Amino acid sequence: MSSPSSVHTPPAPETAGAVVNAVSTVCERSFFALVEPPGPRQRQAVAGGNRWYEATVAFDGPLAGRFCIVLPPDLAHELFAAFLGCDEAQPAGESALHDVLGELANMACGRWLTLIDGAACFTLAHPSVRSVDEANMAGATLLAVNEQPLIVSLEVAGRP
Amino acid sequence: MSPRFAILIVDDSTMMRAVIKRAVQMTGADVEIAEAANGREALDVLEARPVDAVFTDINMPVMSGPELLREMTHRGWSHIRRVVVSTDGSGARREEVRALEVSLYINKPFAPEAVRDVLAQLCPHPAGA
Repeated sequence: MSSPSSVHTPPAPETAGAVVNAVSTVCERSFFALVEPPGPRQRQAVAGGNRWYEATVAFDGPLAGRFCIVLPPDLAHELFAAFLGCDEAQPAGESALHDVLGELANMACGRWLTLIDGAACFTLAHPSVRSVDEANMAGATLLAVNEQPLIVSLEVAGRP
Repeated sequence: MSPRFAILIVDDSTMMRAVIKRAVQMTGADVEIAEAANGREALDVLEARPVDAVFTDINMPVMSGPELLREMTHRGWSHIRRVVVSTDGSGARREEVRALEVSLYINKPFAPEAVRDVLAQLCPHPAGA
């Protein structure tokens, strides 16, 4: 990732709950989903063994790093149906599901970057989506989306 | 009978193209819609058929939105209206695309009304008028 050549000093990425704000806005506006603070049910779901989808977007600019969203398959399918306005009972193809989850991460990352540094230009890479067996909660933010867990984690270059 | 208003939706996400297409169709406007997955494919479509307006994403593989817009200017297609549909709502990005003859901007995530409002500016007599 390139280092910025200007003297622009980006703000701390974690300021003012921008991550929560960005994810909430995208979930509510594009996926018609209710976002709330997590409760015991979501914490328990994260602790238990499960299969998850992980959607990651790399970004570059005054800040560089990776924005990652992890969510369970049931929620992924729910969001897919809401995004496209289709019947949830109709199973989504894996490729189409990955496309929508990539867009979720892409929109949330773009929104977050605009919130934390609206004056700067960032480049977002094509999202990557995969299945994982474990949800890594280290340094991550847990949210309840339609009462199911959704985890957001950030890796910012040069920050611990 | 006047020809239908034709738009080209350029986005690397098939699903996002479907959502934009649905938002356009929800307006009831009599619009013909073509699609492309990146700037390169968009140029092929523009070579092949008349298009009144391009709705393009910014970050795409193969050829990005700004690269597409620059190429459109280079090829003398300044008569085609340009709309950017992007997650990047930063002031710097808006400045960049404004210099590329972009007149309208839709921020993702968007409500269908945002597409309707843009379409109303591009095509003042929709709905088969």
